Amino acid sequence: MIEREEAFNALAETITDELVVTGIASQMASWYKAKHRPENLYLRGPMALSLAVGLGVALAHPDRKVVVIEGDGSVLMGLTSLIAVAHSQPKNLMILCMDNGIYEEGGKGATVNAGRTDYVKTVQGLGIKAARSASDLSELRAAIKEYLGKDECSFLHVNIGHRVGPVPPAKLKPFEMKYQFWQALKGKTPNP
Amino acid sequence: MNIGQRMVPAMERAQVKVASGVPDNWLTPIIESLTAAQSLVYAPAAREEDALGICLGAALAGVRAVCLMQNAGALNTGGTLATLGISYGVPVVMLVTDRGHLGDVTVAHFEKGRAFRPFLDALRIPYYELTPDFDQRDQLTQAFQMAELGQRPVALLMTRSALEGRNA
Repeated sequence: MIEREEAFNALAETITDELVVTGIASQMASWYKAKHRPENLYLRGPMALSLAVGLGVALAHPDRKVVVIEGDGSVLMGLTSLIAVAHSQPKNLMILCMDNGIYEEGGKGATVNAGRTDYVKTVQGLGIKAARSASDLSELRAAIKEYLGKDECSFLHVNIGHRVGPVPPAKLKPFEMKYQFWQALKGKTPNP
Repeated sequence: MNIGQRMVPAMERAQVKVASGVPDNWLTPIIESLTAAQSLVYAPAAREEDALGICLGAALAGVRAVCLMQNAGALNTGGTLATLGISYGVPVVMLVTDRGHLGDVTVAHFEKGRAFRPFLDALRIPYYELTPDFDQRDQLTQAFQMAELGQRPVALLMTRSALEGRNA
């Protein structure tokens, strides 16, 4: 089990010019705190759509590595998105599933089937072969480094602890989130 | 030429780079042509919310994207349209087969046809019927102009008359 903030900080240490798409609520808040930068696309809604949105970003910019940070509850809700990811297999897409076993921002109840779902086998069964799990910081750092350097669609399941104390959400309105991401992509906006 | 062979050049003229969708039998020739096209990438989805999400992601990454689906599936995308499409103001074009109108009345389609346009009205999403000469009129490009001007999704509705090039 990795402390939540340490897991996000381990990713922040490694990220350089990658585009990062976060899921809503605690994923957005934790990544905003760990490494706020224009190359981040924060989602405020809907739950679970970061996987599909990240796939769209990856298809639009095959020259850029795209990292999606999502929670276990959203990954379960968005399993069909993983089927679309498996079909397209973008070599530049890496998905992190931050698994704390609860709906952190949804009442803190247990995630459906918590502790019994094998995320790695599930994802591999869909056809995403580069998939593994990390349960301590050294495993996590090694896996992040390997998958960021890999020219292959990948999925990293991370066992993390519950959040300790509140983490404020990103201090940006949705339109601001959009424009900062557009600007980070060097003026490739359809209507700047 | 079938509608798929006409739709791909229309999308190319509109500079569409990413498309996603879920099949409907009216969409099949379009999806077949998109899958074979070299000028854009077509990413099939298993459900409509994913197709919309893929296109919203592509649009948020600065390229033009079109999602294709039937009105039944589009009715399932309300939360995504509200919280991402409209809240963020994302200019995507939805190409939706609007089933359940004249010449297309079955028990399965009837109520969807009655519900879909009020659904779009409730979300204040602009929608326009594709006409049989959609490619000559460059309606895909026009739809993107509307989406980008208004900074929100726009729906192009396909009825039987648009598909067959004649009135139902």
